[in-house]
Amino acid sequence: MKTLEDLQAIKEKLQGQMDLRNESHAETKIVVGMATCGIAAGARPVVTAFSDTVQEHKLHGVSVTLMGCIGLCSQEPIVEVTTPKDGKVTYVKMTPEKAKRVVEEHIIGGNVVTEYTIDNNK
Amino acid sequence: MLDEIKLDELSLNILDIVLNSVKANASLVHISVNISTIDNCLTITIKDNGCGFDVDAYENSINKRVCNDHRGRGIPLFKKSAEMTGGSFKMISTPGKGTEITSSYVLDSPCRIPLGNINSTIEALFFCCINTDFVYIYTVDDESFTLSTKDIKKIMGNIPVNNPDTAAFIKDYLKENTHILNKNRIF
Repeated sequence: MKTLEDLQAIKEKLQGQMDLRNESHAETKIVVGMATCGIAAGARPVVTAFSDTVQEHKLHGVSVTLMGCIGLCSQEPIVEVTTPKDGKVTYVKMTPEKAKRVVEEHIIGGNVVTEYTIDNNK
Repeated sequence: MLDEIKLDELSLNILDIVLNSVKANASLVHISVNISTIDNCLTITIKDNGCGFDVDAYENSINKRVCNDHRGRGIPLFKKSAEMTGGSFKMISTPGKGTEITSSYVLDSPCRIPLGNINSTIEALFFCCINTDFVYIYTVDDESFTLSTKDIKKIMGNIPVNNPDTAAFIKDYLKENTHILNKNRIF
């Protein structure tokens, strides 16, 4: 069974790595709408998918945070992705599968997944 | 789209309510899920040290609210989820000090919404609200486990809670300990 002592070993391993950065100074921000409307529309599995995919690819400088309702409840789950290259892109009606694609194509690949953006879903 | 919102897991209500604490600038939030098969009761307690609010003024605003106002539906929804099982709901808030919400359910009520994926809620909070500390306590009858971001940070120092290796540890820790306490039961 896992105990907090196992964390100590993880820390010792990580301290030997040079690429640790504080993610609060992230250059790429993924912000998931998590008001009641977003949660009801399935935002929790979306945030899990973003978090898992970012962790899986060991991406640094990428933060996943939560925000409230921006007044477009019918378009939830809504996700705003801000990168240095493309600025802020708003994705709507997100799913875990779409989230994985956004990380891989937009954040890693540098190509906005236009078919999921708010401009193409009005 | 402004009709009734439904949350089909109590763990989604928990996520919703705890995010109010985060928005209220709480630096520490206690989340407790206590299941007693002996007392036939499930109790959720969320306690924060955020900005707090005037409960009377809040109740008035809820009663006056127009039906298509989509804001502020989280607390009424949480309250209803408890009351429809024959349970109870209590909210105490002191401006400047914090808020404590206790929601109790009759465990075997056919009207009780399942707890659902509570670990997913805890992970979302731990990984995505890194400036807030959380203490999570899960209890089933006389057994319980605790996971605190303060304890994690004490060990990990400047390595963030959402670092991939730390995150993997947290997920395994929650999964294994919940499994041990649940003993193949689904709450």
